[in-house]
Amino acid sequence: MRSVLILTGDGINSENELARAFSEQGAKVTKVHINSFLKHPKILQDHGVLAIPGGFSFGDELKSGKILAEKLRDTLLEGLSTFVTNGGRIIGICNGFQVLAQLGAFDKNFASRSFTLSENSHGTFMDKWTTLEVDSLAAKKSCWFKNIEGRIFLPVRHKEGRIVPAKNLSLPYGPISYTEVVNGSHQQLAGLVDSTGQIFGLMPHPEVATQEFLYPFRKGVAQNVHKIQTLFKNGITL
Amino acid sequence: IKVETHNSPSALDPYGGALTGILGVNRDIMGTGLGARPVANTDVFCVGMPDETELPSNLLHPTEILKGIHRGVQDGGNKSGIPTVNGAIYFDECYSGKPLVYCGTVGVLPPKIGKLESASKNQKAGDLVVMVGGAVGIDGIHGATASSLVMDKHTTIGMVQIGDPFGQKRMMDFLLDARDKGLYTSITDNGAGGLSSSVGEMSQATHGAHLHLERIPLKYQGLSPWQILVSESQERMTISVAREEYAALQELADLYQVSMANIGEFKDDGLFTCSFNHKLVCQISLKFLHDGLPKMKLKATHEKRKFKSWKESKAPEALDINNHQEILKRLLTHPVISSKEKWIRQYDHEVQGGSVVKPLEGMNITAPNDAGVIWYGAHGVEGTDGFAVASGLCPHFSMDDALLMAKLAVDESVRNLICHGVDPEKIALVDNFCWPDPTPSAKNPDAEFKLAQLVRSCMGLREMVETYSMPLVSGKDSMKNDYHGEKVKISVLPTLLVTALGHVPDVRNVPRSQAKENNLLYRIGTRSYKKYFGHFLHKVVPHLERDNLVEFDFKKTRELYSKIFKATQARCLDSVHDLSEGGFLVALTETLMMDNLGIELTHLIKTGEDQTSFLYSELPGHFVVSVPQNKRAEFETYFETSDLQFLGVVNLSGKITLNQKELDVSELRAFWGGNK
Repeated sequence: MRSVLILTGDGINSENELARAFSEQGAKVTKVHINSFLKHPKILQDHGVLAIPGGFSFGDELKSGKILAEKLRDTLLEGLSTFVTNGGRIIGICNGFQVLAQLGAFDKNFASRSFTLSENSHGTFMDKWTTLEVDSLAAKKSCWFKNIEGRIFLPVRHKEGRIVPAKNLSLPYGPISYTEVVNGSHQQLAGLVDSTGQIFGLMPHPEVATQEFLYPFRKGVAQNVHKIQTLFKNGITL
Repeated sequence: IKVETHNSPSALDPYGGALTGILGVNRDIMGTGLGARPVANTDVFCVGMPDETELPSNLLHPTEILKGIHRGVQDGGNKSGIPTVNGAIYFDECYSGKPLVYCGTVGVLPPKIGKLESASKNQKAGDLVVMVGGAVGIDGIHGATASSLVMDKHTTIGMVQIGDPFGQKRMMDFLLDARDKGLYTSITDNGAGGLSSSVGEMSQATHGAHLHLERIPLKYQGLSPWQILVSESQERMTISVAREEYAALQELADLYQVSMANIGEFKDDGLFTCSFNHKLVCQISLKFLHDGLPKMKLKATHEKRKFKSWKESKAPEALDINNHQEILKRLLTHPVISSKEKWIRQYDHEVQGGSVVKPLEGMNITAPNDAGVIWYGAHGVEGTDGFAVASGLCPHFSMDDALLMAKLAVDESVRNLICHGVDPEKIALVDNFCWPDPTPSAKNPDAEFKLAQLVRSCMGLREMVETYSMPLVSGKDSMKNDYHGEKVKISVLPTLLVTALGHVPDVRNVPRSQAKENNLLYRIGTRSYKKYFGHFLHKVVPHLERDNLVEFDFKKTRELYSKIFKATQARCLDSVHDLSEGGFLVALTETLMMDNLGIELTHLIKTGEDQTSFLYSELPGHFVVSVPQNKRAEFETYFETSDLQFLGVVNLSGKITLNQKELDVSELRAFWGGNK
């Protein structure tokens, strides 16, 4: 089983529930402050999964994820690329997805940025549970989606989650999308993976959906919990 | 738990005032014991009517005020990673002069931190005084005193600061880590009065402190020593640090990129001393500092009369009392009762991963819940128990008597908890008074009457906490909620917010507000319906008489709460929703609307009862509950026959049938306004 390294500090939140979601599946989880990580970037080599939780690093000033991405870029970019080449997995949720997007993590060798996460079409922060559909090819294209198919329910909690593709570049594969217009995202996409399927960015929050009693409705909850637990289990399976 | 008000700053700059309000109460929690982690925010706003047209020209319109305070609390909570789990927005013309902004926070502390009791303060003479967080500027000087003055045309916006939630989040992350590593011995926040207040308070335990004011990090040069001492610059905490831990603390602060400074030491000489570049600038005996202010003596005179509003309210259009469709339309579209979804959705309710009951139930079609419930498991506690937090606010009853208002506010906060599985033996309360000025002056001729209302509200509060056997653990007051214009004076109604915090033994067994198909629906309550009592029906139907509720037996209500708790524990209840603004038909609609369910109501009114009272009274201690069919017999054993009224079986029709007429639930829901 893979051990998980979770970034904290600089205004990031949700690190504790993300740690719990992984450890519920039996993973060994280490939380590390961004500044410690930048001092000792090699600790990444001791882990199989890097998780960047969301959100509100640097208070979302300038643009969500922007400042943290710039802070990480010089020291970590090469290390992250090597980490993925060696089979490492990365998950970025909400603000973590925004950071990965700013870093160009979904394009080959972190060399370009084929999309951005823009302000929601309705213009405000929104906390709402949504229905999502997992693409039929998702399990083939990404290790995170093994044995997960059909509909799932997750809450969104963001202001900048609208995927807008860049012109002239092809968008990374989207394994999961909203079943209705949530934020004006391109093809209603809620998450993307890189070409290896190892790097996964997702706007909704699976880390708060691993227990039945955390849902604001009753129908289909047990089934959904199982799917979300499978997602975290997939992440840490060798 | 702590609830703050930030009314004056929010009247001047709604965004900045509300933002510093929520960040300030977060720091109060961080300053509790050895430092608690904030895990839930609550917010209650009282503002003028959205359609106000007669406002004095130098006041902000209520709609603009609401937008600003909403954005301030939203930024403060969301960017700090603290879920906003409960709140209310209340509209009345008495809040047009000054809005009320209540911000509350609940925190968790482990019982012990290292070897220390976590609730303890352990500073010793010789410990260093360390200021953590932001630097000091002239901002916020006199903030505390200004908010206790009457607002007039000379009041300026310069007294209000803009908070920095990101800076504070960094500071809190650092302090919680330092706490767990045992690097400080005591902690207090810097709020009103700045260092003079935080160090002044902390020095009571050691009997003295000496501050070196030149060591305090400044935002810019040029501050006088007194300004440094009383500045209310935000995002700062004061801690006491044993000298041998200072280096380790500094190293940790550097890691978190949080600024800190050694600004003095705690002493045991009985004095509060400040020097500036080795020159003595202040020395006051602690005894004088804390007990030297003589108590104000004020006179209260009670008289039986109504509060007069600054403007005449428009009488509602005439309406047949049996036209329930139209009455419900008027009630459900009233700003106080209608859906707050568009506001609620902009707050993060579920960060930290423990939110069991959220403000809204459902996904696309929603309905309101009555309290926020948080699972302790998200905060490192084994098991499935948790806590719930809810509020009670009914200033409209102050029109007649603040004593009754206080009692009803307590009951409302408690019954909201009872809806979601809280044990009534384990509830604590917080009282926040916001009053019109009760001190006499030429401009304030009826101060004695307002003070009498304050005394009476305290009498009501005392009677309730004794009857319910629930402690008041925290509270605050704000006594100058008046606007003096050239032509008009606008004073708030005496307003008591009661916030209730209670223990939930098992978060897996928490009823929500929504009934299910085939459930048996009951009304629970201890009183018969002889004469209408309430407020909101008056707002929509002219010429109504109402009861005074003087004889209401709250002891019976308290007993009822224990019975409901037992029935909940036995899993006899699928849903529980209380009767509040608008009464029974509104609560029933809210219970059915998420899944567009229906019910046939037949033979409801007993002999000698009044239909209007039954359908619309806003009585304390009353609920609509739903029971699974196979639990009927067991459910009924927990209650006296007189506590219960069976209403019918929930069906899928989407219609409430009443007196052979059908009310369409989806239409009622559209009035309520949850549709997008």
